[in-house]
Amino acid sequence: MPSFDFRRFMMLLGHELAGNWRRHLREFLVFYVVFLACIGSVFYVPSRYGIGPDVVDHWTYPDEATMFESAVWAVSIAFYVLLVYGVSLTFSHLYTRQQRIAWLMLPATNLEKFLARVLVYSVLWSVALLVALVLADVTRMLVFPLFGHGYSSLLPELESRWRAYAEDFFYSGLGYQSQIVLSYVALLTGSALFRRYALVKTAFGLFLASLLILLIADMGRFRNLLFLDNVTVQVWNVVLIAGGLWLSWRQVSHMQVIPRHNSLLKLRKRKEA
Amino acid sequence: MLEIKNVTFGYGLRGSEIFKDFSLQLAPNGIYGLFGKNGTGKSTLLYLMSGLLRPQQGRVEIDGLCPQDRRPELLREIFLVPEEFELPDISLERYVSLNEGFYPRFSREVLAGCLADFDLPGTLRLGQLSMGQKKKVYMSFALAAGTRVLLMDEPTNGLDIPSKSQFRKVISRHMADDRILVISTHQVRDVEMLIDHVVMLDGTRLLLNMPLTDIGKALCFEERSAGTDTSDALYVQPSVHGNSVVRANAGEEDTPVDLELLFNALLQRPDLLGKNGSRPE
Repeated sequence: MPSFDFRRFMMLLGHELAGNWRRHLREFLVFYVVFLACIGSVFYVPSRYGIGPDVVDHWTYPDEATMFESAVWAVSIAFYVLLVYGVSLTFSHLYTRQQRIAWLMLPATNLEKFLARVLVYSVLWSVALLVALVLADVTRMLVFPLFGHGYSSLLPELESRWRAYAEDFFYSGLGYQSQIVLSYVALLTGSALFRRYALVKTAFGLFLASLLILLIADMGRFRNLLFLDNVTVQVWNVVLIAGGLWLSWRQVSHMQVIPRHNSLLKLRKRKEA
Repeated sequence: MLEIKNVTFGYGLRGSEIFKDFSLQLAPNGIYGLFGKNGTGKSTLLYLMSGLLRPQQGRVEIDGLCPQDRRPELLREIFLVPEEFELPDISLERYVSLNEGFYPRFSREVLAGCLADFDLPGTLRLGQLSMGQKKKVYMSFALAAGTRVLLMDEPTNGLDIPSKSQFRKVISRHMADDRILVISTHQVRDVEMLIDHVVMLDGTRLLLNMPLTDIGKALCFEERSAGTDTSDALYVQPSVHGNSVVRANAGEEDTPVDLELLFNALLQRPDLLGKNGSRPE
């Protein structure tokens, strides 16, 4: 087994980030615009006309707490969608033959290449989302008071709400945590299998799988599948997580530059370049 | 040494094999021209050599290591210039700084020399180059990487006429002693003055693997006017001036090898140079 070289791993990260800096910059701008739109859509009317029962002729929030609550929800949903989208892009760079050749021929181990992509599109992507969110909120605080009313930063409210979610995550038990990890692994596996439009295809695949499980479980003797106890659910989660990680790793590490027609799970054969 | 041992490979179901029990050995310090009709598997062979494809049977080895394992210590000794490739929209300097670390023997002097031979400046923005210019830059980087195995798939496609001459100059000037260079191409005229080994494919088999000098010692390639006796010819094809003829070299002075004529002759008469590439039967 080739050893993991940290210096080479850092070169891979630099290769990915600096080599595609225009695309990453575009992605960052999209994050910023999305968050600004979410925040702006909540704060615009209150910034222009104020809040409370005194405001007539325009729909607005009854109080600041409600307004901030709505903003937290809007931003959280946008954050989650963009986060999920990022995970689905992890292996999107392997869609064309030219891209596969360039990546596979890079002198690094499969593990280093795999982890570099996972790091960029999970961890660094999340950091970029947070930075874009902060910038969007700062923009709102600087610009929207010009409409008439200014409001404080959304970030403390967001931070306290997300801290509460995180505490729920860590204290709610292994079952809930494994569900979150399973969702991440499902997206990662989908990215490795489908590469392009992976989010849509993975979501559709999961929907079909769920439907199939429900249909099978509804057939009398398998009805028990719908009412599994916590331990069984956790065992299944662990099995599915391990299976998904193995499948995504295998798909990437055993990739050939041109898929063969009779290979298992080669779902895209003729459409690729 | 690059060895392909009894490789069987196909993309589809059984019965559509590109290679069947295919073997080939390439020694260092050689420039190999890889020729064959469309669809005979030239690019596939390059992908097998570089580990981008896995054979169903058999093994590919480079100095005892299997490229399909994709170990960094072997990947840093192989460079493939594909027929089509993408370059990021960054400066050449940035591209070099991001990639040279992966190749321990990378030489900026060689890169500068190759770019100068290609009449390209050292400061370039990769996203603004034409296809031919990108190809020149990529080939320059490939030569500068200092890998022991350099594979090129149709390197002269997209190059203008002066650039093809520059290509030959660049390759011959920067070919290293311990390097294996394999050039897969249809453009035989672009490389016939460059290569010293000829590898020809036909269907699933190896039609020819022979040094150019040995071919020249075994065969003569001539142009004869129409009506001239061709009874001594091993192969005849009509040409503009009459007939292009391949005949056995009866110990005379070597004639330049006409690769196009040789290729056509071998397709008609696979036994032209004997089973082991010896004198004609």
